[in-house]
Amino acid sequence: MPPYVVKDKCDGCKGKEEPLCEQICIGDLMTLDPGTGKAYCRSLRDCWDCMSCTKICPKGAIEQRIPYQLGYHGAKLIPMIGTDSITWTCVDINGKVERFTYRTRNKR
Amino acid sequence: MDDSLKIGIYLCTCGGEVEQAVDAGLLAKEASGWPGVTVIHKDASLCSTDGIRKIRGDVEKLGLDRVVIAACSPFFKVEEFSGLGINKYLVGRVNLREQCSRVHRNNPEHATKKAKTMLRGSLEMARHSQPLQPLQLPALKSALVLGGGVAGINASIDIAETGHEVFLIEKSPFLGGRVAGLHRYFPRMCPPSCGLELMFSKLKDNPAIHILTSSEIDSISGPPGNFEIMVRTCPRHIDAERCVLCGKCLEVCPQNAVIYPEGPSFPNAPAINRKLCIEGCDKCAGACPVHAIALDEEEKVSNSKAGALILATGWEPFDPTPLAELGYGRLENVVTGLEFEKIAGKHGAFLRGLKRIAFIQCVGSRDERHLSYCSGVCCMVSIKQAILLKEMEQDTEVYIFYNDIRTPGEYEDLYRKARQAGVIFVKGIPSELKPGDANKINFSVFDTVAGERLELSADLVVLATGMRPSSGIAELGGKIGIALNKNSFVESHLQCYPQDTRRAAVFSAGCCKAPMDVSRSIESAGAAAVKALQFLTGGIEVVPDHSAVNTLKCDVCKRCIEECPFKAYALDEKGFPKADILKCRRCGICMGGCPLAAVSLGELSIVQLSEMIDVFDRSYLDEDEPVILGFLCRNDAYRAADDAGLRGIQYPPNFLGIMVPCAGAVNGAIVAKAISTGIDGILIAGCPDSQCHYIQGSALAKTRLDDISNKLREMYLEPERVRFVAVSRDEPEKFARAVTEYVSELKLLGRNPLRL
Repeated sequence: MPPYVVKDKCDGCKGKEEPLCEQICIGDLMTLDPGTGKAYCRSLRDCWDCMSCTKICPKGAIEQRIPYQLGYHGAKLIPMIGTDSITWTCVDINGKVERFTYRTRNKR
Repeated sequence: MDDSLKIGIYLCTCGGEVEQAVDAGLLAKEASGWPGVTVIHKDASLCSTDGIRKIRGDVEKLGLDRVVIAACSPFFKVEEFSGLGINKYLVGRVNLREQCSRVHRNNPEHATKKAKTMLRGSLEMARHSQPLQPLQLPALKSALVLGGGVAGINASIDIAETGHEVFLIEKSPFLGGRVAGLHRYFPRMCPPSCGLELMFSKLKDNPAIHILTSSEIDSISGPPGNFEIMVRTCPRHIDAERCVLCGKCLEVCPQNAVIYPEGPSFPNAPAINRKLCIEGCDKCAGACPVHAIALDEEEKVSNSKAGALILATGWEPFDPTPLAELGYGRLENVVTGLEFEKIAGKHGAFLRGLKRIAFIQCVGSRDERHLSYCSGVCCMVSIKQAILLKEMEQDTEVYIFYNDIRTPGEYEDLYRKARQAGVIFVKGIPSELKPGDANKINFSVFDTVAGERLELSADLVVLATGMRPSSGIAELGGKIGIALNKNSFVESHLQCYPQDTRRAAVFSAGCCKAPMDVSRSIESAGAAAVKALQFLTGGIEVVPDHSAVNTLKCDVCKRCIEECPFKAYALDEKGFPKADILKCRRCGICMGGCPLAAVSLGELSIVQLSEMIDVFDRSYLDEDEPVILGFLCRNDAYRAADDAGLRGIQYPPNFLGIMVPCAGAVNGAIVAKAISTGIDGILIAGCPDSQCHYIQGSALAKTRLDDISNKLREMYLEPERVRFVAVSRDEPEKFARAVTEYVSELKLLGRNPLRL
C-alpha cells in the first residue's frame, strides 16, 4: 500500500527541484506536483512499502498505509528519527500501542 | 570517541555563593570517576589571578586537552577564562551559579543533583568540541558608495581620508542630492551651498575618491570584502574641465535637452540628455565658445572592486497629487515644501509681495493610505520657512496648520522663535482648497484648540509633504540582496546594528534607511563609514565558527539555502550547499532546519548536543520527577534565565538549560532524540517574533516544534511534551513562571513512556 502525503503539512522541501522523498525513493515514485508544489506518489501500485520517504520527511507529512498482510485498516507504523536513534510506534488493528527505540549509525 | 583526552574540571564556589545550595565537595568526588577526568580542583575564586594561574599551570604541566569550568554564567569573566593557555573553544562553561545554586536555594539536595547532571553534560560537550583558529581573509582596501547626496558624500570623504579608495556612484549628473535644491537648512539657518562647497572641495582634493556621475549599478557579484561591481555610466557630453557655465548651449537647444545645475553642484557643468536630441542636431556644439561639447561620447560600462558597500540612495518627496482636495497641480499657488525652497532661493521679491501664506502639515503623512509614518522633518521645514518669511517681511501673515508639532531637542528653540516672530499655529488641517479671486486660495479649517471654524484665503499654500525612499531602491535592493522594511526603506536592526543591512559588508546611511534631516543624515554617514572601515582595515579576521555542512550526510534538499535569513548559502563546486564565512551570522537556523541534521556550527555541533543528551541521567531527581531540557536563545532567554539567577527568582530544579545561538538552531532530530530517550519535556525559549536578532528564528522554531508536536500526537504521546515560549531579555519572572508551570503540567502528564 502506498504512502499518503498530508498536503497541509508538506512544504515541498523549500528548495523545490527535488524533495527529499523523491531523492530517497528507491523506485523513483515520489515527485512534486508542479501545480500544488506538494509531493505525491506517481505510481501507487509500484510502492514496496520501504517507508524511506516516511522516515526522511522533515515535516512528518508522509503516512504509510500498512499492507493488509501486515496489519489491517487501523494499523499504523510511525517512525520518529533522532540524531542517532529511531523510535517506532506500532499500533495494531485493536489500537494496541507499542514503541521501540533503536540506536542508528547516523550520528556522524 | 577518543577516551584518551585529558580533561580538567574546575569548580568555583564564587566565594561560597555556589555552596549555599550546591555541595561542591560531593560534586568533585562524583566527578573524579568520570571518563577522562585528569584533575579536579575546587576554588573559592577561579577568576582571581591565583585561580587563573592554577588552571594555566595545570594546562601546561598535565597537558590538558579540555578544560571545564563550573562557575558563573558564561557571560561573566569571558576575558579571564579565554586566556588559559588552551584554545578558548576547548573550554567548557557550566552555569552553576545563575542557573543552579541561586535559583534552587531552598532545595540543596536537588540543586546538587542538577549540578552534577549539568557538569556531566558539559564534560561531554567539551569532549566533542573542536579547536578553532581565527583566519585572516583579504579585504580590498576600497569602498563603493551608492548615492551622491550629503550622506554619500560625507561617507566617501570619511573613508577616503583614512587612505582607502572610494568609488562614489551617483545616478543624476550632479552630486549634492536633495540638499543642493534647498535655500537654507536648519537649525543654523545657513545656506547649504556653504557646506556643500566645502564638501566638494574635499572631494576634488582627494585623489582616493573616484566620482562616477550619471551612473548606475548593473550587477554586483563576489563575497563581502571582495565585491565586483559593474557600473554603467551615461556620457555627460560636456567636458566639465573646459565648461565656463556661459549657458549658451541652454539657449540654443531646441529640445530642452541641456540639464543645467540648479544649486551648487559638482561637477559644475551641465549635462546633455541625448535621448531628447533631434537626430543630427549639433547647435550646442557650434555655440559652445570653449569647445567643451562632444556629442559622440558613448555609454561606458566599467568594473570596480570594493571591499564594502554603503547605500546612501536617499529619498524623494511624496507626490501630493492623489490628495485631490488639496488641489496640488490644479491650483496655481499650491506648492510643496521642496518647491518653496526654490521660490525662496530665486524669487524672494515675489514672496515679499504676498500678504498671507499658509503651510499645511502632515500632507499624506501618518495616513495609512499614503505614508503610514511620520517623516520627522516636515514640521521643522515649515517652521524654518515660516521664520524666513517673517525675516523677509515682518507684515506677512504666516499660518501653520498642523496635527502635532514635532520638534525634538534643540529644534524646540526654533519653534519658540517662530511663535515669537508672530507665526500663527492652528491645530487643524484645512479640508478643501478652492480657487478664489486674483489667484487666491480659499479654505475653511476647524481650529480644534479654539473650537471654532476659520474661513481664510491665502496667496500661497505650502504643502509639507513627507519623505519616501528613492523609487530605485527596490530594484537595487534585489541586485544586492538586501531586505526592505514595510515602508520600503532599507531594513536594519535599528537598535543593535543600525548601519547594518541583512548582507555582510553592506551598510546603509541617510534617508534610504529612514526619513531624517541633514544633520542626522551626516551623522549616520559617519557611522556607516566607521562600520565599513572596520571591514576594510587590516584584512578581515574571522573565526571559522560558521555553519558547515557535513557532505557525507547532505542530500542537497536546499532547505538551508531557503531558510537562511542572510542568504549566506550557495552551492559549492561539488554541488553541496556551503555558507559563506563572511555572510554567515552564526545563528544556526540552518542547523535547526536541516532534515538530516547535517549542518553544525563550529561552536555548537549536532554531535555535541546529541552526546550531551545521551549522558544526562533521566531520573536525576527522582523516578517521578519530570526532566525538562531547555534550549535557551543566547540573546534573550538565556540572559533572562541569568537574571532570574541574579535576582534569586526560584524555579524547580527539573529544568536543564542549554544555550543555543537562536531558538531556530534547535534541530528536530535533537528534540526527537531527547523525547525518544526518555526526556519528559522540551522547552525552547526564544525572543518574541519582532525581537528576534535573526529575523525569523523564533517563527521557524515554532513551526518546527508544531511538526514534532503533531508527530507525538500520532504516536499516541502527549503533544505537550514540546513547547515554545517567547521570553524577552528583561522577563526573568516570565521565564521562571514558564518553567514552573511546565514542570507542574508535566507532573500531571506523568513520566515519558519512553523513559527506561
